Amino acid sequence: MAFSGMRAIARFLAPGLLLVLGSCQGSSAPNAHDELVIGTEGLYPPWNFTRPDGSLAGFEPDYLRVLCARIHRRCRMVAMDWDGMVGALLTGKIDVIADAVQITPERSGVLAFGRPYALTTGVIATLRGSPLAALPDGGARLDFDHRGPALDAKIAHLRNGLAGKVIGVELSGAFDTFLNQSLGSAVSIRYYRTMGERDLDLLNGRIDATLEDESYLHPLLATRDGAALVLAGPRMIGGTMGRGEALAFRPKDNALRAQFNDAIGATLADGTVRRLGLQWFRMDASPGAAR
Amino acid sequence: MTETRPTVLRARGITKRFGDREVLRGIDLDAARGDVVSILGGSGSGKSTFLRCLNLLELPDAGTIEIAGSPAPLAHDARGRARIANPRALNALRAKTAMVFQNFNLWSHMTVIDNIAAAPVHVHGMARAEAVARAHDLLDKVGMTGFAGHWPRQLSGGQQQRVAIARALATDPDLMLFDEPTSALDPERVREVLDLMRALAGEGRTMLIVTHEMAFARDVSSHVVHVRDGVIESMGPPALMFGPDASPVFRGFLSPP
Amino acid sequence: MMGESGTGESGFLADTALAIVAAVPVTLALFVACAVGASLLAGVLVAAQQGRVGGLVARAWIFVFRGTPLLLQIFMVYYGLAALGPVRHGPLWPAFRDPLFCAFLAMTCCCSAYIAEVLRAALAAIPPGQIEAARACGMARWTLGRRIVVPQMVRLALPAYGNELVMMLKSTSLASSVTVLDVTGVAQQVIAHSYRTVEVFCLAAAVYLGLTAALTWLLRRIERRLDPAGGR
Repeated sequence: MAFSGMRAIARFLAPGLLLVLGSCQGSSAPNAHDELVIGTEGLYPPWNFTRPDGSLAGFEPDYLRVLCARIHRRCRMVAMDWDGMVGALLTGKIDVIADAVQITPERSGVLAFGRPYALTTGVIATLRGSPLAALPDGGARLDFDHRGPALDAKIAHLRNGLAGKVIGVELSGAFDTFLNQSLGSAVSIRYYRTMGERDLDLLNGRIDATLEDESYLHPLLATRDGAALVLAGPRMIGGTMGRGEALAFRPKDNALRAQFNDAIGATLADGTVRRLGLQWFRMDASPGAAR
Repeated sequence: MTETRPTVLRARGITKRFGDREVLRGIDLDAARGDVVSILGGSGSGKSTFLRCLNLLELPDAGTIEIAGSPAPLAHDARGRARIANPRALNALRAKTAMVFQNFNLWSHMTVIDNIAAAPVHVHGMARAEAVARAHDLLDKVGMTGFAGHWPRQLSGGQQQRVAIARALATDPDLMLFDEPTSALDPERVREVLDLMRALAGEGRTMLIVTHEMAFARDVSSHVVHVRDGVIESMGPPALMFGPDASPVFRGFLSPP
Repeated sequence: MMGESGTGESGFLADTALAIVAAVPVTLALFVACAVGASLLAGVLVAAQQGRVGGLVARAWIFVFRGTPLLLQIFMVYYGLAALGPVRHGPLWPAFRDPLFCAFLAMTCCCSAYIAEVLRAALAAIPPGQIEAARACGMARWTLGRRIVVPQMVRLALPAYGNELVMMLKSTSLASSVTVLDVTGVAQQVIAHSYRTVEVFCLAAAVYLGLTAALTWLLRRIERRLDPAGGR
């Protein structure tokens, strides 16, 4: 196995430490009416990640710059842990969440979502040599919003294929609720607070597989460490996993949401989203793309 | 020391050095069964050290010890330092003796009855029920009836010392060593311990007593030993030692100018 | 707010309390295993300190595990050892693969260092006269250790040892940082879906409070039982 441990630890855990150090000075309450504070994780490449110098980069930092310019607002992006982000939004520490947030039914009870600016599916990743690499229905698209015998059969394939395995998933990502409700009886689930910790355990063989967004996995598989991984089984969307990624707002901030929605509509129409997608994901992730 | 009584203690040429200081400089002492030997001397004379050499709590640098026929398992390494030749023999030797300490040294985690029964059970292998029954008898004997379930810290100093004496009697030792048994007691408590020791002497127990109680030494001992500067300065029956023909040095010790 | 449950405020709190209480066995199992393991290991450390070479090893062990944060130790065992080929591909991997075992191992090593110091202090506090009294009646080394030294050490160590146990019980919450679903882990999980940090952590804190109160009560009972006379 061409996987050098310490280098991988540095790769997957160091950004988190960096972020912890950086956030000591960085974030503070939104101070002026004219400045919008946008929360992101900074640990979810290529959507958003933290450069060694502490600056944020990725699809969302680029895209939000475009959107803020369109609505003529000054924006500041701050990095914080995902498990505190919704609380930070609801208590007014930040105004918008831009963190590849999937529009799930559960979250819709708490947050107000803008128009989706991307539509991606979830997929299983496992080590190259794992028996799970041969999961059936490879590449097939399972839409949990369209239930029926065909879907049930494929879910059964999935459940049988994963039975008894340890599946790691990000805590409160879009996929942990799905795993828990749809496969929880068949598999044992490990919950991770960050992607880096989960990836490290996947490469170490501590977990047998993960369920993660394709937009995250594709770039990971292209790295030296990630080359040990393969995608397996069907691509999944809908149901508790939600449909598409969007900005999240406080439910009462309707005016702000409307402003952003107009800007998102315009950037979807003029090809900005498509261009940024090709740049960061090497694919057009926009909701209208035919995939 | 009537010749018909067997020898319980035979110590020869006991020397002990602490660093540069020679504490014992060759002490010989014998005791026959039933002897009550009081060892007197000023502080720092070496009398307590000598007593502690007899059961090898201190290792003498030279000399031989024999207790009830068993030689002390002393050996010397290449550099002349004393060491224990055989731990098993050492414990067997100690089991023939019993010591009563100045500070009682009752085991604070055991009740009174367990303190007394511990050595019979854990050293002599006596059945616990028998040891406890005998411990109750000994409590009666030392006037501590009814204190079996008490903890040492609940007792006065005099009571603790009486329990300690019961503990010493529990193994029916050939030789009892008393190391200043009344020195840590309040003056009004001294008497109850001395009375008990007087009763033991009357029973024919073989006792070596390091003490400052001159009246007790005079009235109870069969022999009085005066230790000074690590040697026996003079010894003899109390009638002689406390009489007009006693050594001037001992007389000076008894009544300093 | 959890999905479509819609049972309202009290329903949420009751569901959360149930979920957290259901995780108590994990927290307790980790605690008991660590308490036993660390105490045994501490005994070995104290025994080793009586010798020259063993003392050096024991002092180094105590220096390292007392001098570094427990959280880092857990990470080192969990992530660090997994990166080493002999561990990753060795016969012990099934154990090291398990996060609960890694947390147990790190906590046992760490707490053994603290308990060893408690025991060492207790050993030094045993009145020498009590040991002398045992030697004077001919007690053999092993009997003396078993009947005099260890019982005295236990009594003298108990208050400080109890403190260590309470600290250890609370430290088990760090296991949640390596995916163990103990009381804290489950609380974080509930928060991740309900976004109600304060209420959930309060419930978790109440559970820990109950556990430490029970432990403290138990320790006090043992203390009283070992020494009914109490005080000095």
